Amino acid sequence: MNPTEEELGAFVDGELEPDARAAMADAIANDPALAARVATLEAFNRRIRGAFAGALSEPVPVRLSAPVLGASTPRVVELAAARATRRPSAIGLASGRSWMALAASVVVGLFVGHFVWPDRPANFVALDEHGITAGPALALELTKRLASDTPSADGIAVGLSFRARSGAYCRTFVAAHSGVAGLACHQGEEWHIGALTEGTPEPAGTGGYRQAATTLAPAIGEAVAATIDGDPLDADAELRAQQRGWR
Amino acid sequence: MTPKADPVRDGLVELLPRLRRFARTLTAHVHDADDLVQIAVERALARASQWQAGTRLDGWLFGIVRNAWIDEVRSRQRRNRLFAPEEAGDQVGAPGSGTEVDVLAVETALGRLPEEQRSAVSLVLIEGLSYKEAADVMQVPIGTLTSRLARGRETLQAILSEPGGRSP
Repeated sequence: MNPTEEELGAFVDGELEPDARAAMADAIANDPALAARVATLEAFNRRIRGAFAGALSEPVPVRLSAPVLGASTPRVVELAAARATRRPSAIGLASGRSWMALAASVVVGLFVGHFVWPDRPANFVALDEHGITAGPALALELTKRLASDTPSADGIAVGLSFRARSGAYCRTFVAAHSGVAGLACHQGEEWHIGALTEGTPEPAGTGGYRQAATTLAPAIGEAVAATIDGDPLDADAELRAQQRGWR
Repeated sequence: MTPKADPVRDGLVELLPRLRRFARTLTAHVHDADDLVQIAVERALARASQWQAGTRLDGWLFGIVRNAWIDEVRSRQRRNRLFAPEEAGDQVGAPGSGTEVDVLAVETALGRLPEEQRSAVSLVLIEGLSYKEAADVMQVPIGTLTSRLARGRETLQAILSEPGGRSP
């Protein structure tokens, strides 16, 4: 028996009819050369499949999952530019899509990964049908922490607090270890993430955290400027707002 | 905002990682792949009523991804920009997914196949569809699928056994 590659492939892929499969198995058992061809094909199949196995465990960018979940995509201002810079040959596949959706994909996907993939630690932010909200740990810091406090154990520091034109209280934050900066606004009982950007992680050390908390990433600065009503809260007003639960 | 009993929408959530993987085998480019999936997701949601319950949702979605890719390739050809410069950094797979060198070698080799063979290899060998299911996705007779798969497999084996193919 001298099967073609196509027939042998069908055997390896489990696509032969039972009779043909049995005949092929017999032939393979009695022909070392044929057995070697089968082994080569099987190794090849495993190699091709294995090369892409890692793709399944990557976090799905929010620009892909958000439309499916019916969620709105948060504003992430600076990333569109970053993407364009990194990818000068962008072919405009998604032309016509809003820049916001494109922008959001780059970094937010990273964080939604914390939510989507259970093997990751803390749920820093969570994605649901209403958009992105602060996870429990971040929400606690946003509610309790004052700008003058030292950063939390996981490096979260709060910067500006202000009233948005919607009337909601909003606060900027930085997670120093990861360099993530964002803007969150208090609505209902939740902190909604209005902007999120990737910064440079601050080196461990006390000085870095204060720096991170007080220096606004440009993307977040733009988001603040687009949202703020009047001036940021001073320390007294921040304390009063905190005591009222940001309502 | 949250439609109930929407099998396409529900199924899509779980299938997104596989759609991304399939798109990546077609485009050989991480960002192009996600652009492609984004387009396919929009189309799938818009055409959700066309999916027939009882048929495989993954196959239906793979078909949408592939048709979107064919549209894109045609439009690139019209723009005479079929061969956009590659960025090696974007092609590397996830860390820890086998050896990254081999991921790159396989992605590159796949990218050298004609689209028909690439789709056949991807749907059967990577996504694990049966010949019949893959033939349905590609809307060709099963005999056409098997010959494309065989030719794709032979060409890939040849490319990957080249000195530059970095056979492990």
